Order: sequence, then C-alpha cells, then structure tokens
Amino acid sequence: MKQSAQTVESKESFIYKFSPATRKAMFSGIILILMFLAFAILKPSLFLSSGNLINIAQQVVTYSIIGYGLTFCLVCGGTDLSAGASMALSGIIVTTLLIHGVPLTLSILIALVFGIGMGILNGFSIEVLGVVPFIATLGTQWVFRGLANVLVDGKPIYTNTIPSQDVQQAFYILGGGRMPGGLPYSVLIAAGYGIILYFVLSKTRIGRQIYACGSNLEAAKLSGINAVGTRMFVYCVSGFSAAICGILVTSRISSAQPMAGQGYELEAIAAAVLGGVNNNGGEGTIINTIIGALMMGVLRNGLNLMGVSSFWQQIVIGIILVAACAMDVRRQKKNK
Amino acid sequence: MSEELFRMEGICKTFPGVKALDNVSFSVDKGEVHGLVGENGAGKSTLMKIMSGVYHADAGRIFIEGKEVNINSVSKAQELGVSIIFQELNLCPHLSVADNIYIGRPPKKGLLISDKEMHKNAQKVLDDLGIKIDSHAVVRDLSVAQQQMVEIAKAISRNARILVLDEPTAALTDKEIAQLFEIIRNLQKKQVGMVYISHRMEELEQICKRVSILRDGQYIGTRNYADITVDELVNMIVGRTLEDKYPKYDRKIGDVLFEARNIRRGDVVNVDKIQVRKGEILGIAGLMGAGRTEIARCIFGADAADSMELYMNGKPIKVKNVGQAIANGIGYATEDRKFDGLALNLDVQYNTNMAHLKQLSRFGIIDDKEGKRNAKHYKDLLRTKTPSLRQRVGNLSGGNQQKIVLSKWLCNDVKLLIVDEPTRGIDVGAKYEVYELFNRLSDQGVAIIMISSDLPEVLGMSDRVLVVHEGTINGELETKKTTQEEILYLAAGYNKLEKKAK
Repeated sequence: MKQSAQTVESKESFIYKFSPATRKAMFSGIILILMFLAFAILKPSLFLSSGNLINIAQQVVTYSIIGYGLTFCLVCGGTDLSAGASMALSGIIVTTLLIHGVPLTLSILIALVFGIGMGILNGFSIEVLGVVPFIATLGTQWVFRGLANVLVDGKPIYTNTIPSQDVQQAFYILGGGRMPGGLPYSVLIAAGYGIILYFVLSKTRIGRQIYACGSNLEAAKLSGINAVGTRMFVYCVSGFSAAICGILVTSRISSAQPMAGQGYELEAIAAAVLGGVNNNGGEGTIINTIIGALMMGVLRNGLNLMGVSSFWQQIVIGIILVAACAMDVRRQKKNK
Repeated sequence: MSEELFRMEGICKTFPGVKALDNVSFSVDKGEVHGLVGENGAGKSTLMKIMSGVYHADAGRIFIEGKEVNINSVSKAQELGVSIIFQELNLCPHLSVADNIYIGRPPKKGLLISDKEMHKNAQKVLDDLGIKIDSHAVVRDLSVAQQQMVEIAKAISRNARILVLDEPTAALTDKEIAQLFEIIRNLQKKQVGMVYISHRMEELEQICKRVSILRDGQYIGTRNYADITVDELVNMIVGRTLEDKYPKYDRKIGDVLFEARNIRRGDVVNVDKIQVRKGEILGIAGLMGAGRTEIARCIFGADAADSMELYMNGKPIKVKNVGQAIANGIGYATEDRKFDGLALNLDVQYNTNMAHLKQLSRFGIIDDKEGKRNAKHYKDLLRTKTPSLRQRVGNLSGGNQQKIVLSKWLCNDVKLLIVDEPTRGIDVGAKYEVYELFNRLSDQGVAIIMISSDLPEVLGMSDRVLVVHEGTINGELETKKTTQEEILYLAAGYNKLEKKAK
C-alpha cells in the first residue's frame, strides 16, 4: 500500500518538474517528429531532399515571425488580428522609401519603427480607449490594410524600380539570399529573432509581467505590475515582428503587395495554439510557437507531396486544430 | 393553528475533514418567515444547498406537508416547490424581465414564442406580488433590489412554496428593504413558507416569528423571537466557549508605524483615522459590504481615493498606485484568492515572486536561481505543501494557496501587511499555521491590519479592533476588554451610547 502511494507521488513530481507549457511543447514536439517520420517514410526521396527541407524552412519563417508577436499577445491575454495587414503596410513602406532613394538601412529602420507605431496604435485602442483586443485589432487591421492600398493605389510595387542596382541586390539578399550551404539568411534571422524573444519572454522582468497579466490581470495589478505598459509592450512586439516579416517577404518576392499577408495572423494563431500556447493567456513560450509553425509547415508540405489538394489541406488543418484544442481541454479538466 | 409546510430532521453532512452539519432539524409553517442565523461557516449555506438539491445529506429526512421527500437534484427541488434566492443573482442581464421569469419555458404559440402572452403572464406575477416593475424592462437597467424581486417573481411563477432568502438585504438601502418586506408579507398571505437568512437583528425582529440558530454545524435551537432578548440570541449565535483555536502570544508592540488620515472615496469610504503600531495586529470587523475591503484598496493604491494622507514612521508617503504602496513596504493579501490574489494557472514559484520581480531582476533580466531559492525559502518557511515549485497553484488546497499569497508579500520585506479574510475557506490546521505566521511577523515588527468577518478570529488574534459600518469607523475596541456582542452591535450600526440606553 505504502509502496504504491510513493510511486504515485514520485511520478507526479517528475511531471511537475516541467511547466505546463513545456509539457505541451514536448507533446507537440513528439507529434511533429512522428509527422516528419511519416512523411519521410511515405515520400523519402521528395520529402527529405535538401531543396524541399529548405522550402519548408522558408515557409515556416513567415508564420513563425508573425507567430512570435502573436505569442506575446496571446500569453498576455490579448490577440492581434492586424498583424497580417501590418506586415503588408511595412513592406509597402520599406519599398516606397527605397524607390525614393532613401538609404537601405534607414529605410528598414523606418519601416521597423512604423511597425512599433502600429503596435502603439493597437495598444492605445485597447488600453486607453478600452476596446477589447479582438475588436480593436480587427478595426486597425482594416486601417492598416487601407493605408497600404492608399499608399500604392492598390497596385503592387516592384523592387526592380529601386534606382540603385546595388541597393536592389543588397535588399534581395535579406529575404532571398542563401548561405553557401543553401540555407536562406531569413531562416537565420527568424532563428536569431526567436532566440531573443524567447529570452525576453522567459527570462526578463517584462516577460514575467506578461505572464502575470495574461493569467490574472487583477492579481497582476495588485502585485504592483504596470499592466498598461506591459500590454502596450506586447502589441509593439507584435507590430515589430510583423514589420520584420513584411520586409523579409518583400525582399524575397521582389515586390510589395498591398494585399500581402492576408490571414497570416490567423495562421500564426493556429500555429501558436497547436504548439501549446494557451489562447486564454498566461501559458506558452516561443518554443511552443516554433513547434506549432513547424507542424503546420511540415503538414502542408507533406500533404502537397502526397498530392492532397490545397482545399483538402485546409480541411485537414482545420480538423487538426480543433482536435488539438479539444484534447487540451480534456487534459486540463483531468488535471483539475 | 398554522400548518407545517416543510421539515428537516437530523440532517448531517460531512465534507473531507469537516463536519459541516451535525443533526440539524428545523421546520417552516405555511405563511411563516423563519429566521436562520449563525456566523460565517456555521453551516447555513450547506443546509440551504441540501434544501435545494445541490448537496445530498449524509443522513436525515426531509418532509413536505408531512410527506417524506427525497431531494436528490436541483430540478427535483424545483419540482417540489423549493426555491432559493442566492446572494449572487442568477439572471441574464441583457434580457427583459419577462424573458428572465420564463427562461427555459416560454409560452408558445405553435413553434414560436408568444411574447405577448409571456409579458402578460409576467406582469400578472409581478402585480400579484406588488412588485412595481415593467415586464419589458431590461434586467441590467434594474437596481440590485429590483433584480432580487425579479428572482422572487421567477421562483413564484414556478410555483415555489418554500422560498429561501440568503441575506437578501445585504446590498439594499432602507427604502428598498421596506419594499422587500412588503413583498414578503404578500408572499405570506399566499401561504408561502420562507427561510430568511440574515445577520441583521432588527430585520429578523421585524419579519420573523421564529428563529433557528446554527453554530459550527450544530443545531443550537429554535426560539420565538418575541420570547428572547437580542443578548440571548447573540449568545446563542456566538457560543460561550472560545476554544483554544488561537496560538497564545505575548506581543511586543512598538511605536506607531503607519497612520492613515481622511480616507474618503465617494460614499463608500469615509474614514478619519487609522493607526497601527509596530508588531501590532489591528483587526477590522464589520458586516459584508460595510466598506472594509474598499478601505484596504484605497490604502494600497488599488482604488483612487478622493483624499487620503498616509504616514509611515511619521513621515508622509505618497500612494497613488499599487507600485508606490509596495515601494513603501505595504502588502495586501486580497479577500478572494482566485479572483485577484493568484495567477491560478501559473506555478508556485511564479506566484511567490509575482510582486518581487523588480528585486529579482538586473537590467530587466530575471535571476531565476534567486527566484527559485526565494520560492523554496518561503515554501519551507510557511510549510506549504506542494509536489514541486512547478505545480500550478490552481491545483493546491485553499490553505496552501493562502500561504502562497502571504509569501508573495513576505518576500518583499513588508512593514505593513493588510490581510483580507486571511483564513476564509481554509481548514482548521492551516488556520492555526497562518495565525502562528502572523505572530512571527509581529515579532519581527511587522504591523498587520487584519480584515475579518470571523469574530472569534478577530478577538483571538488582534490587539485592537476597529468596527466599520457603512464606510466609517463606528468604534474602536480593546480586544481584551470587549466581546463579540459589542462588535456585532457596532457593526450593525448602533453605537455604544445607544447600546447603553437599551
């Protein structure tokens, strides 16, 4: 009798060595590996070719960078539906500046600052005007999208109209360039940026404040946490991330489209939630989001190679998302 | 003459570790308003929940009109005509009064709901009870008192014959109380039997013929209100014996540490002066809704006061927000751990350090080793039982959660700790540990303001008691020279002079 009670306890304490988000990341990670192995076995030559793996990586880059920003918002108990539009607007801004002969570094900096500005606008609508995040960012989504359209009269602009050839080349390398081994620079940028944000969310004071606000806003306020500042910060991170993504995508496809990035914020939310970020706030790390984005990327790519049409892919991904959340709800009930 | 409507006999209910009800019996006649009194935790709400089918009694029998019944579910209770008006009202705020009254069973005309008939019926129910509310009114536009009346109408429309009113006047003004009593008298004429739970003696006096008293889950007795004095009743409620629930301690009380003057906030808080000395435990007693928590929130900077002067060690301090309060060494363990005390889905370590992030970080980066050490230190110091520091606090017991709330403030080197209902919902053993902790803090010179509805706790732990009534301090008492009776008098709004005159 005593013996068995002890084993139960030690089992419990083993699981509880890890935080809930880490446990979910491990679970999602295992599923990712299984998915990967399944495709590797079913379509070894196609799926495992270096060209295909790089292709996956490049796709994942876009969603994961926007996903980082959304992870911050979700963990803080909010959401940012304007991320895709912010991305398009940033791409338009950086390209317009370059076409007008503004130096490369300065153009990028200005676009990034605009990204933060869009975050501040979101934060302002939420914190000062008191609109709930879902509606506030739904509104700004149209504002940003409209602005992007207004700036270029609804037509795409191309980087080959940049006056200096050198600048054209340099700008392309950012999103489209590859290292000698074939690895795109954008993957390195996404990885580096992810590491920084992982560190910010998990090891800094502001990171802890984000979790506190997302888990219990009242308790956070009564613990002396500056909730307004913290929540402003997450929208700035989201805007900044969207801007980085916009710049990289524009660079890779050599044009800025006012309708770019439509629905990316929803893909990013799906990736974060699949990876184990709690969409009610207070739980999740950048690692969860990366795993989630990889899951989406591998699944899409694998289904493509299997010859599954993109329409069916949508259906499959939709079902998987709902099923994953349903499982999570069940697990949480069990925990209680 | 009067006919018995409802009777409970020998009701027992045990929760893990607690005997909530022990052999409780009482009865209600047709058209009677029967008072049910007892302190918080005496077992009133458990008894009510058994009546309404939420809990099932371990032993005992229930009779309605002399026939034994088995109330095994909420719907069964409703079917039998037992209805409870809870303190927290269960209405849909966006819907009309009629929609709420007929929710789940609207009158139909073919497949569609007949709005006309529904409003007609609802208005009839309201008019019959003398409730002056339009059935088209939207519930959220009504006052709390009116919403309560809608709840009563809803119960009556379901043919309720036995109505339990749980502290119905807690949030009502005098005028509204008079209206409520009018409705209660109308119900009496309809032969509805009512159980009326309240702390307010003057109300019981007005409308109850008999009162039953519960204490610590025991049935103490039933009396005709006319036959007993208020003193006798209070004695039955509190009991003579004060068991040894509180650790004995000699406090060394020092100089005045903290003083607050002229705290005003609308008509909720109106306090001239609060003073606490080093190592002192100052109790704050009062009825629910008297403004105790609101005073604490002002001092802690959580609510903006219209005016407030604070002094720490004789020097004026500025507290405009929670951050400033914390910086000045004030901590506040809130009344409701789940609502605003803890982040339930975060772990023990996280919650312990939540108000301590500034001290744990250098250049904005958190020192996790130190955070872990800190959390472990307070876990050991307070003997918090948790499988690991990574456990979600939502999975811990109430007592252990409370210890985490307290450690959150202790690690900040508080000088003044405000604790709001520090032992609510935690078991006896954990209570004792919390009291011991308070004593240790007092020994270190920490001043504690303890807000509590638990009068034995106030008397057992504090050195002085301030009694709050309607946002003002209605009296200051030396714990050693006072009694629960005296606190109750002050809390009910009488002052000392009036009491002597009685």
